[in-house]
Amino acid sequence: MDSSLQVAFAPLALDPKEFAAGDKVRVTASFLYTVAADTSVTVQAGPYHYILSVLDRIGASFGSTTVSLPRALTPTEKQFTVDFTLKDIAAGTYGLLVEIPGTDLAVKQDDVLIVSAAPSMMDMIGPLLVLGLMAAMMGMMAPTMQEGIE
Amino acid sequence: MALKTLELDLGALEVGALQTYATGWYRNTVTGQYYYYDASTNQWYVYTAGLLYALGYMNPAPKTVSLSPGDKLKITISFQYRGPAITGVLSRWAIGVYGALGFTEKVWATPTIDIPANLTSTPVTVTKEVTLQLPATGVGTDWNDIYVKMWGGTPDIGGSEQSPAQLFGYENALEIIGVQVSITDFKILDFVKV
Repeated sequence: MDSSLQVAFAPLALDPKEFAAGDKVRVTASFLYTVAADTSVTVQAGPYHYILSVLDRIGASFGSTTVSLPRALTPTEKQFTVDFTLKDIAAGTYGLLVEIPGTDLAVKQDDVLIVSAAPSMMDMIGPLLVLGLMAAMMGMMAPTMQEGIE
Repeated sequence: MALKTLELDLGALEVGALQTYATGWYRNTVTGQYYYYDASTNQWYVYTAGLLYALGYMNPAPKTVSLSPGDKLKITISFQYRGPAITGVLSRWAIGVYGALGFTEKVWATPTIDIPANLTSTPVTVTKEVTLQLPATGVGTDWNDIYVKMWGGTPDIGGSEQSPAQLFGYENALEIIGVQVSITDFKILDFVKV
């Protein structure tokens, strides 16, 4: 029969890795393909989790790339990378999904993206505030100390 | 670019009054295909799977040939002939789409055919082959039909391009493959922070 798009959920053995919100992630994936004329496909990747057992993509964090597929009449391996940035994502553990939109071609693995929350504004400026406060206090105390020396 | 082959059996080529067949069975010595000819109705029948089917314009293909865009298809026709030598028979060989609106040609060739004389009482098999090539792009999966038509020549076998003396084709003779991408063994190999 004529070639048709096929689903291939292959068992994977990826180890979970830790990331922080805002990190950029590069996924390397591959597939075997055949096609009679040069073409290309769009591949997208990103995190997902389940809500009431339904796969929910964290859309804001998805990235995509175009993969060129030169004519190949026998199954030919194509390796490619897709980058995405962990945006608008809460701390938690997520699955990793790589898919070709508009088809049922996808590969995924649950619970491999361990995302910690991005540092808050207070986390980033807190130490500076403390230092500033200390400097201000030292400034206020300085005249008193000079008077004591005299 | 692969080369595939397909044979079309035209039965018998009729050349006006020069050609006469008696009612009975005939066998194409090239393909081995059996035919039955009914002289009273001037109708040929093809014998397939124990049944007789009247030969018409388009017929069920005896086999399916898989072709990818860019592939070549060698088509061989054969027919039984008895009569004088005929030169310059015009012919048109096409791959296309056969549907409610008739046959839409997509790829074709228009060679001339010379038929040697056979003035014996026994028809001989005449063959002719032409190679057509599918384009590398733009091929539809419905380009699966094929036909050959013949007319003219000296002496004239009759007919015209619009109403040929011989017209024979196969429906669904081709399977166009490789037009869509087929992807398997989809895997995530690694993922890292960059």
